[in-house]
Amino acid sequence: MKNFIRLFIFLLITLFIAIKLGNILIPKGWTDDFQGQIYSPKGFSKIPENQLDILFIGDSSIYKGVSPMQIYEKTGITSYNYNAPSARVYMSYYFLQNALLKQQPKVVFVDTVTMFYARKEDEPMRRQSFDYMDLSKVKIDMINDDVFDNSFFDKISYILPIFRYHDRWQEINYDSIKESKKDYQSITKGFLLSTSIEPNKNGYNYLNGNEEYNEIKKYNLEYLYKIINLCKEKNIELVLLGLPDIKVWNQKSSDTIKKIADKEGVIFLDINDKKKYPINWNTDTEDGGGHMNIIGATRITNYIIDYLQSNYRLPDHRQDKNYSNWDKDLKIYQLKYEKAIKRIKKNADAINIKIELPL
Amino acid sequence: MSYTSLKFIVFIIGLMLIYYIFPKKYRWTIILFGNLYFYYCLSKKLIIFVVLATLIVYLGAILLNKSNNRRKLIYLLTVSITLGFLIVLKYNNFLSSLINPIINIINLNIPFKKFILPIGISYYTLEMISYITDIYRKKYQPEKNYFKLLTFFTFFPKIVEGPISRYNELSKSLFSEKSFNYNNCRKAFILIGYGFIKKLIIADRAGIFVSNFLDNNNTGSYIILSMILYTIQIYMDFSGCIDIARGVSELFNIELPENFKRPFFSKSIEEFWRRWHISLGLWLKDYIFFSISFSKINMRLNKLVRKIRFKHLSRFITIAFPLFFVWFVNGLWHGASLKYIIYGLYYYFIMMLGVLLKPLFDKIISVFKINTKTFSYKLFQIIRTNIIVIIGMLLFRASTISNFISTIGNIFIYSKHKLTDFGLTYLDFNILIISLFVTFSISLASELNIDVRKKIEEQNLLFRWVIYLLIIFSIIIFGIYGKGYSASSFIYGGF
Repeated sequence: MKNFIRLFIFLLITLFIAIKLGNILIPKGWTDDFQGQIYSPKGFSKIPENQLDILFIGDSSIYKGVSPMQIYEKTGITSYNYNAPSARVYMSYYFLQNALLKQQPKVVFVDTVTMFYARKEDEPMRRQSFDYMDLSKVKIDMINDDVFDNSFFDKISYILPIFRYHDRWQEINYDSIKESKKDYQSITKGFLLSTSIEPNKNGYNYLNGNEEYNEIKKYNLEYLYKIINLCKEKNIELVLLGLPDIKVWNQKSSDTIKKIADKEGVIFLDINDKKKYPINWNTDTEDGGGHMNIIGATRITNYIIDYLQSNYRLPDHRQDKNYSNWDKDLKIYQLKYEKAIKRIKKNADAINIKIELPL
Repeated sequence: MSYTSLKFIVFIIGLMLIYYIFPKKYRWTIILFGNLYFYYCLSKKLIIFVVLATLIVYLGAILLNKSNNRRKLIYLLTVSITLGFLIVLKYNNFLSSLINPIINIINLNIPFKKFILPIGISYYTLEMISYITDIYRKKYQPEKNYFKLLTFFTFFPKIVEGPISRYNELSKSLFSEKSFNYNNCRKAFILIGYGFIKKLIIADRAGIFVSNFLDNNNTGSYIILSMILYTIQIYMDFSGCIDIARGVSELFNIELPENFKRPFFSKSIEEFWRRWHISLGLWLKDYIFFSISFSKINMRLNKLVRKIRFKHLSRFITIAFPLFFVWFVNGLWHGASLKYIIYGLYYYFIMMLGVLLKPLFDKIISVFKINTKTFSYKLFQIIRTNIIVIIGMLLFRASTISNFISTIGNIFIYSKHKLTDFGLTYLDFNILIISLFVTFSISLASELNIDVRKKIEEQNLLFRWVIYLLIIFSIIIFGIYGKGYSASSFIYGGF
């Protein structure tokens, strides 16, 4: 018996060291002044329970397109942009499930551009989504979901990342150890303030343009329905969101999502409609039409604020003492925003583009 | 499910739990279950070959024991069928390439067909031949229980890379009733850990440099480094797997024979092969060397050579004849191609040259009054042996003989390459040097008859735990496994 107790203690010590070393070895290279990426999944767990009115889920289009702090600043509505780069809709399904463990949002916006990915994500992309998710039943379900084709080794390495990132020992220095202790509370609430600028020279013709991404893979559709059913089950209003995108979105995409939305009785908010929003493709995109920069994101967020105010009666938390953490973060966010605006102006000047700041 | 996979570790833990819960008398059935599961995971339907071959050997041995006048026939038939599986599956293409040019003359042709080899066929076939031959030689009684025989032939720790075991030796611990021994498991853990270090930290790391360098026909003096690293890779890979196999067996209180005894401390090629892949050497000695030595043809030859006036030459021929077959089979066993036969005969040639020129060497030693008992002379012998082995390893690795010759020639062609151009960083080389130093120290201690595992076990708990944790985390962190980390694929900026 003594031996087994010793063995048990030894295994606990081994596990503890493995977790700690895993924290040091896991990559943390995607952080900058304007946050996003690693901050989104890690920062989500730092939000106190039941503080969110709205949740945005999706991939890079949404984390560069919608700013929850701007919504809070103007309306006092709390929201979070829970996302990961290149996240497919089945990954969004697990983000939503994970979010619902601690939060009870009234409205969930799902970025529908993720429906049209023609192939599954590369493993590093998946890692960036789930490596930072706290261990829970949702994470275990994700690990075991056949859609990800995880091998036995992969499954173990999602729980103990040391097995996946052991190769990084050559890059480890004192900073890595310091970073492993860092608090990844997201000031921007999952939003990434992009300061790049690359105009779209072809002008506005995207709803008739790209035909490549108009088919929805069966597994993507399956998970969209899972999201729809989950929201119905939890009594959450689901909004399928079509964000401005010249590279992927087209008329067929819009029609397909509309058909599903009508059939399932959910809302489809397609911002890819020229009449509905004031996007300036000369100044608002960071990559010629695929993603918004901070100017474009400000405009889109304003559009969503209008939509929220006209359609829902959500509480204003700005004077609520229980939400003082949001007011504190807002001050830091405003400084970051100003800094980002200065930087994008500089970038615009460098390519002789005049930018018009949205209100 | 390889020996170095997480799946294998989980499999072992699961099997151990069931094994020690089961009544002692029937524990071997759990091993059989584990064997079949493990084998099935690796070879799927091809499991049928080992099951069938065991049945043939089992029946052959029973019949052999009962028969008085047809013993030789039964023996030869059993050996032929068992060997037939190996020849058809492994050597058919090689044989076709040799025979077809001849039989083409009479418009015949053996079709080329590439079969998927059942895992461990080269190993278990030798064990089967050893078993049936021992029964034929009346060394011991045949096993009456087919399933026990199947447990022996498919014993999972040794099925993939050996050691080639003998039924009369392994069956003693395989089927005896044993209790769980915690201390034994601790010792086994160290051996398994040592095997993992050899395989994942050293062999697979050295392999990166070797593959990147030798596969691309590079030139320059780094060829010598890659030859040395390849020799290290092969040794660490093979002996590491054997350590894991022996350690895993020890977890079940089953003892597997040693297959390597620090071969790089050998002072001659003969000694090297007594220390390297010992179980194969012993098998060749018992079943090829003795069979040929006591054959009629060899007896006749011996009679004939006794008439030669030069005693040394006559003694040379007496050894050279049976040894030729030993080294021929040794080479052929390693692979179905002419290159492997030449690999075997390379050692044969060097050994025979040594025997033939022994009087000359003795003369040189006496004329120059060389003291052969000094450390420096022994060191010279060790270095000489290692050089021969390193060249032999290149022969083993080369795709063809001409590739081997051109690689040797390329040593003399200058190249501007840097050490770090072939997949390893300076930090990797540091890890290699440190881990080689550790393995060298352990080997040296073993050479001095120090039982390192016992020494560790004698230490206080805290020190032991530090050692265990060092083993575990050096393997996890410095081992070469998994998908690898490429910063560029992880640093995501575009979307």
